Amino acid sequence: MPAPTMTAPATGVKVRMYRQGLGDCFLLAFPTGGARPFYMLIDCGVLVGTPDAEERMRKVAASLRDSTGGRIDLLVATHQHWDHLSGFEQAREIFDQIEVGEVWVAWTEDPDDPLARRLRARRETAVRALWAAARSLRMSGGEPQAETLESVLELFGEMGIDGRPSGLQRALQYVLGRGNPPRYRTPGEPSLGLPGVAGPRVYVLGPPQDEELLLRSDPSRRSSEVYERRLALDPETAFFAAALAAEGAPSPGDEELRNLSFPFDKVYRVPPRDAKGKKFFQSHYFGGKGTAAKDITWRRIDVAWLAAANNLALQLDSDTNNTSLALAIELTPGGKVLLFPGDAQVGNWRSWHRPKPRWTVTAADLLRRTVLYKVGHHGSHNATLRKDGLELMEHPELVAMVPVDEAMAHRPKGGNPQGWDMPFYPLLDWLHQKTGGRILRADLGLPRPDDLDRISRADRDGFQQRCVQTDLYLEIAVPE
Amino acid sequence: MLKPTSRIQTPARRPPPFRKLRVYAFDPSLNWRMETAVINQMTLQVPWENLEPGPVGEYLEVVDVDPASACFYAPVDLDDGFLLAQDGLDPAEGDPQFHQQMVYAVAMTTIRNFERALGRRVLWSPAGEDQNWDFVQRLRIYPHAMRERNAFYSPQKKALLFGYFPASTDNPGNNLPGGTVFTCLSHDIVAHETTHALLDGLHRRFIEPSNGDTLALHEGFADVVALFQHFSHPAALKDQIRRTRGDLASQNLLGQLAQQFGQAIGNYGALRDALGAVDPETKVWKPKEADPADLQQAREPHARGAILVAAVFDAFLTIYKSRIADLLRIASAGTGVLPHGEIHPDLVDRLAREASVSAGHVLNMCIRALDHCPPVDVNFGDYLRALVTADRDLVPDDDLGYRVAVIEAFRRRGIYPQGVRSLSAESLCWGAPVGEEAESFRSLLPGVGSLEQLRPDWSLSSSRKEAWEAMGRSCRAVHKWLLSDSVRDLARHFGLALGNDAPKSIERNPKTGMPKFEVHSVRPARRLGPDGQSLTDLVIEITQRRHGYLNPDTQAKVDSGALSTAIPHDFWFRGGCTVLVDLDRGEVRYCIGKGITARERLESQRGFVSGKSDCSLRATYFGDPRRQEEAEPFALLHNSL
Repeated sequence: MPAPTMTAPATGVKVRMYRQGLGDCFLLAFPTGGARPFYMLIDCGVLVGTPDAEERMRKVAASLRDSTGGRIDLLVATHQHWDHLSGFEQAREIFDQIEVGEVWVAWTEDPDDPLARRLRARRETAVRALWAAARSLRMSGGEPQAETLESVLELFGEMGIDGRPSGLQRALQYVLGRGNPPRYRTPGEPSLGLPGVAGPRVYVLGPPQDEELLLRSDPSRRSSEVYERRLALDPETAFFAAALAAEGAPSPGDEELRNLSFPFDKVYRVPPRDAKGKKFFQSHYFGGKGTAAKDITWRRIDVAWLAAANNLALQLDSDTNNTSLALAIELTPGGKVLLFPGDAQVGNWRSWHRPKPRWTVTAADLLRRTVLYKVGHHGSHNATLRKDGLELMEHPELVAMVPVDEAMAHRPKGGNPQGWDMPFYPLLDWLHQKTGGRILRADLGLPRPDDLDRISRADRDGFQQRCVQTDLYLEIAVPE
Repeated sequence: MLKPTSRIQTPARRPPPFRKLRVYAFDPSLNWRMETAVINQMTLQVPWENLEPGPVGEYLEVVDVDPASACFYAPVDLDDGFLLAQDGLDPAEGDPQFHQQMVYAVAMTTIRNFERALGRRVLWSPAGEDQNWDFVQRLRIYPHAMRERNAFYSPQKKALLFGYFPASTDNPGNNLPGGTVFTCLSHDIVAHETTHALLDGLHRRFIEPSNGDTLALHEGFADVVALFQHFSHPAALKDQIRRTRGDLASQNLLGQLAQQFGQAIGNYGALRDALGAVDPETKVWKPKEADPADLQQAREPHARGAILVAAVFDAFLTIYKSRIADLLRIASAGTGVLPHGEIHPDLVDRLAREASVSAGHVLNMCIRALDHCPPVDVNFGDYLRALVTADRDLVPDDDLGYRVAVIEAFRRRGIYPQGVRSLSAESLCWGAPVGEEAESFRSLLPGVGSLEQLRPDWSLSSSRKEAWEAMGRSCRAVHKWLLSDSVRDLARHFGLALGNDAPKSIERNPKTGMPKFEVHSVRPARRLGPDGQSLTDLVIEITQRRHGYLNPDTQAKVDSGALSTAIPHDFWFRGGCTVLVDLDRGEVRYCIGKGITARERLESQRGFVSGKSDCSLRATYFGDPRRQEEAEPFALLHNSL
């Protein structure tokens, strides 16, 4: 017998956070006045390396199917990271059984948007090159460094072989394919209603359509239109070209870039084969028989240059997080707000405060009325802006939902024995102050009574009555 | 048959004192601007040595491997007749052999500055670990190691790695769009990185961040050396002094110039941010007012290092000002106010020379201070005391007020040592042991005769390998002497704990079960006696380490032996001392210690290690660098320059 469907409260909304591990999956049920609620799904994924990941995601997907009676009215994919999309690949046959109303993704996934195209091309090259760098590191005995790097790259899922799309790309393609057609949301567009639901309006806050804010750090990457399709030579692409070449079989485009990236004219370049035969390099670099008495190979630097991959991987991760579709859902005009920022980073958050001529509200206003905050990036430090962000959330009923699995995050990642710093404890402290302890953590469950010491007894009882906890999910009802 | 050559007597020729080599005075980007192109070349005089291709000499080996491009570049032969005849290769960005020449010339200049200041040969930090140390004759330099906006000293490989990267196409600054920027062609970067290596050769524990100052001192000191090395070449200054007609009233010129040297190269520039900034409204450079509170707020090594740079720079300005006051009066008929218009070229020369001499003095002072630093856990206050003490040892009479200038400058930047009564030069100097302590040192030290055997020959004519081997023998002798029962107990005066009653968290010798310790170095330091004769002190560095735990309870249990040291520690807590011994009188002159049992210091390191103020995405994914023993500590610091 299938599980009963998820009900909607009489007013407001019910929000369910699945507990599949380190990853996001949120199901929202809005009352329609009709027989069945309006169901909205935001993301569905879990980190690579989670034990029994496929089984977990199938369980989640089956629950989504049964709880919605087989129809998701609105499906939102916030950004291209495996821990937000893996379910659409791992449990595809179950999603095939679910009818989908509309699909929303950020404008950064739009195949016709020139800037989005450029960003994606860059990202794909970066992912490919960084995987190549990780493999080169592994081949040369640098396993710990390789593993640390791979742990970040795995956010992009497993790579496709021989130019076939990666699992992540397939997952996103699947999501886009379920929309007919998918809607590419842009920040500042007029607020959107949910069909059949009276009251709620959805405001698209981000990602910003501004390359500088998206790629917050380096203005150098503002390439001109000439380079729309082709990558230009810059500090990063020079590295990518080398990393891809080190693996062999680069594409013609890669090869062209590589030729551009050599620092010296061909006449100066001595290929390794010739250098090995030269006495100077034998006795001062390669070492070995008949050269120096002592081993000198410890001073070689064959892979030192690959260490740069770590920084570039962080950059890539951060840039991708910044393309998160950030939504504020206002339950009634001037009323309570739910905030779903994906994994938006600082640049994305800041952009929310830019003037939105077609809105009657400001982002600060929405933040002030926020009663439910989906904490970004699994509670890491970088994805919750403090000033102009969390500090503005001053509603007395504020609840925070943190989709995190601390044990999984803290597992050693190669050369980093402490693992990832998620959740960031000082952030939890701030959240505790802001919410009076009303923090729902996917791994820990509902807050214990003594976590709620900062709120009155009546508030505590009311809060606890609105919450449900099962092994599979945590749920909270938010009245209008 | 007539053999003309066998008949004609040619007098024996000695090798020349110097080899002249041309380099970029700043970096190649200045060649693109008319006003700077003319001054962007200088000829360095490096001590003559026989060179193999590379260049490979006594101190350095330049090995030009470019793994990212999967190729090698042939080594330059600076002994080639054509190159000797024209002071080396022409500066050229496109010729890797010129790059090899430039890194060699600049690094050798830095080495020579160190040797001159210290009056002895410099050694690189040894390779290997835990008592099995190997002599490293040459620092290796890789001019094209990475495709990255980075350059760093690798303590593991005993090598300098320089990166190169394409200038961005949209915002190339002074560079050619899409052209390659080479970090090895910047005078300041090369001098900076070489200094890291030289400092590591003297104090190899300074790369461990045990408090907020250690890495900052590494960075700040390296930049001080790069900066004042630059200023000690008058040619670079002359042009600026002439063009701005020495805007000497406000003394902005040198500060601005110092900052320009560091700009366009990111973090190196950041090290000079505390000097001043361009006012966004008036577009005029203004020196930054010294504020003691800045030091409290600065956490990141570059920000803290910048304060050290600014303090040393202030001291330099004061010294320079006092040196040129008479020149200005002479040139202005006694008023000290220069007339309008160009200033006299002779005055330009004299001012530049005074600046250069002042820079040389400051550079020497800063380098000499290193012998008077504690071997571990150094902070800025310690460094100030070392500066003052070292200078007093060499220049007993401070009639030019250099020491006062330094103390004043440091005070204005908020750098005070802990536990001194006043900021006078006398109380800042490390104190000589007195009373009971002096007595016990006297009884502790072996006889002057056996001390005399430790006297090393490190004069500039000695062989570095022999100096290193002699130091090894001396270290073993001191180690053995400290092991004797009569000495063990008294070692607490040195800040060491060698007895059986020492906390159990102190690392033990697995064989004897007694606390382990390491005699780090035994080296000579020059000093001027009261009647002007040159004396030699012995600098002995001894260190110990102890398992440190973030949880004080765990610490207490491990200390008492209730818990074994097998449980993984959170950090290494190091202690030790630098002992300066007067060889002629057999007396300890200073004992600069960081007690291994000092509770306060342990707590402060605990606070430093656990205070997670690093909130970057890097810390989220890769862990806080302070919690790990970083494989390449400088790679990260210099990242994206």
